[in-house]
Parts: sequence; structure tokens; C-alpha cells
Amino acid sequence: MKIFFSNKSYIDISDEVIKSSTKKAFIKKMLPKIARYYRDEKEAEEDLIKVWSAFHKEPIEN
Amino acid sequence: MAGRVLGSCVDATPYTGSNQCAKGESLTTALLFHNPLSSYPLDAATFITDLPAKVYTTGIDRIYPVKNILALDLTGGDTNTSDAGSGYTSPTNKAQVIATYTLENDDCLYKELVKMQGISWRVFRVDQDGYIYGTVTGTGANQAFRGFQCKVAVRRVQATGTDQAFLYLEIYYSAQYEAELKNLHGFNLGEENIPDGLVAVVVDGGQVVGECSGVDYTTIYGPEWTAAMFISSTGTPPDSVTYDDATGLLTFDPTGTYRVADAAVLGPLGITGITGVPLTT
Repeated sequence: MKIFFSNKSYIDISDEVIKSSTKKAFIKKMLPKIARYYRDEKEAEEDLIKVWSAFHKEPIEN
Repeated sequence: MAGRVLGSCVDATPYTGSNQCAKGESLTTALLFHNPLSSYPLDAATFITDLPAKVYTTGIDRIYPVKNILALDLTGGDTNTSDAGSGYTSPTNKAQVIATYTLENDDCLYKELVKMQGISWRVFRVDQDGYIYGTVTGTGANQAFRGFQCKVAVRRVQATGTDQAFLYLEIYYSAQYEAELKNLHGFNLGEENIPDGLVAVVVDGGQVVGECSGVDYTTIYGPEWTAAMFISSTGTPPDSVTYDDATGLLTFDPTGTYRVADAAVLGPLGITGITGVPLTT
């Protein structure tokens, strides 16, 4: 699944990685790779949660 | 008198009327090569629908388009005759037809076309009106659309002080050519439906580049790359691939040596016209 950043850059994460990771492990693994594309690391984390939750069909917790 | 020698005039009824809106094959603008064992649907709509996927499919059904044709020179095809011995000659058969196509000079294309030499092919011709021509083989429900049987030779002529460099693609049609023309089949493929051939690409320094030309394809397909389009040296896709628009570079995780997947993988994922080649190191 793709996460597009604000400047046309993006990351595509393989379905296998999302499927086989817990939410916490997924964020820990992917956050360092995308954080530099965000002004605020919190926004990056929120995008990762959206992707993981969409894949696992889990409601996004506020 | 006993015994008979049966005549063979069953198919010899010529219908010689002039056709309304007659179509004659015009100058060839594209050649579509395929394996002699493969065959395709006679129905135009089905053929056109299937054609894009045939360029990137694996196996014998793959079609190899060659475009950028500048000119055609035809030789052969003359009628051979035999002397009847009493001042008369009669036609026997036709000399082999050889078509020499002049292509835009491209050394990378040359390196690929030479791989086609020494192998039997069938070839469809597409003319400048967008009509595709081939032949019908089989009968009844087994009828199929196929190219003309041929062999291929490639010549690369260097520039001289007076002439520019050209690439020549010679097609040597088989002894069956006249019989194939008797079963000629053609329809309007449409200029816009003529596919391009595949370009071999590799991953080099975070870029997807032409294996021969070094041309950068990373930015051309910028938003399209996905992790599933790459394969590591151990045969697995990366966990993720990041495309940085500012640098035009791809970053793989985990780091390692990657190649681009085969066209059969890329095509269904939305990238056509290129194919990855196996890692050589």
C-alpha cells in the first residue's frame, strides 16, 4: 500500500509486511523511513496507523 | 483402362470480381513477431483486446513488436519457369520473397534484434493504414490467425562520409509464403493499438535505467513503482520501496541488490513497455 507525502514522493509497503506485523511493530519499523518527509513525526505515525488499520479492517482509534 | 488420377481443381474456382471499397496492403509501419507454435484469434475485436497483454505475457504466446520502420525494399517473388523443350516455358513456382526493412539507427535495438537470428519466426505486418496482415491456418473450429513463416537477418551499416548509419532487418519468407498469402487475413488493428516492444531495464544506483541505453525510467513511471515490482538477489520483493521526487531515486528496504521484475509482473500492475532482466552478478 502506498503513502504519498506532500511533495509527490511516496513509500510503497508490501502487503506481506503489513499483514504480518502488529500495529506497534509496523510503526516502529516504518516510522524511521518516512519521518523525514513530514514536518511532524506525529503526522507520519498517523498515516502509518491509517494504512495498517485499513489493511486489517480495524477502526482507527483516536 | 483401369485406375484413375484424380484432379485437384477443388479450390481452383477464382472469383474475379472487383470488390467494393477494396483494401490493398500499404507500406509496413510495424512488424509483430511471434513463436511459430503460437496462434491467435481470428476475430478482430478479440485480437485487439488481447494484444497489449501478449507483449508482456510469458511463454510462447508473447508477441515482439518492431516499429520505427523507415523504408521497405522487396526482392524475390519472381516466377520461376521451366523450359518445355519445344520453345515454350511454363511457370513452376515463385522465387523466395525477401523483405528488407530500414529501421531508425539504434545500436541497442540492434543488439536485441541479432538475438532473433537463426530462429524460426512468424510475423504479422501492420501497414500505414493500421491494418494487420497474417494468414489463417487450420480448418473449422481450429482456424487461427498467425503471422507469415520467416527467418530473420539483421545488418548494421555504419555511417560513411556520404551516407548515414542504418539498421536493416531482413525477413526471409518461407516456401509456404504463396500458400499463406492464399489464406491472407487482415483487419483494421488501429494505429493507436500497435504496441511497442519491451525495453530491458535494470536497477542501478537507485534508478531504473535501460540496460543498454542507461536512460532513466524511474521518473517516467514516477508514481507507479511498487515493492512488488522488484526482486532481490535472493528472489524476494523488498518490504518497502520509497520514491523521492526531489532526487528521482528509489530506496529499498532492506537494502540489497534488486532487479526489476519481468514484464509479466509489471504489466498487470500498470507498467508496460519495460521488463527487468535477471541479475548477472
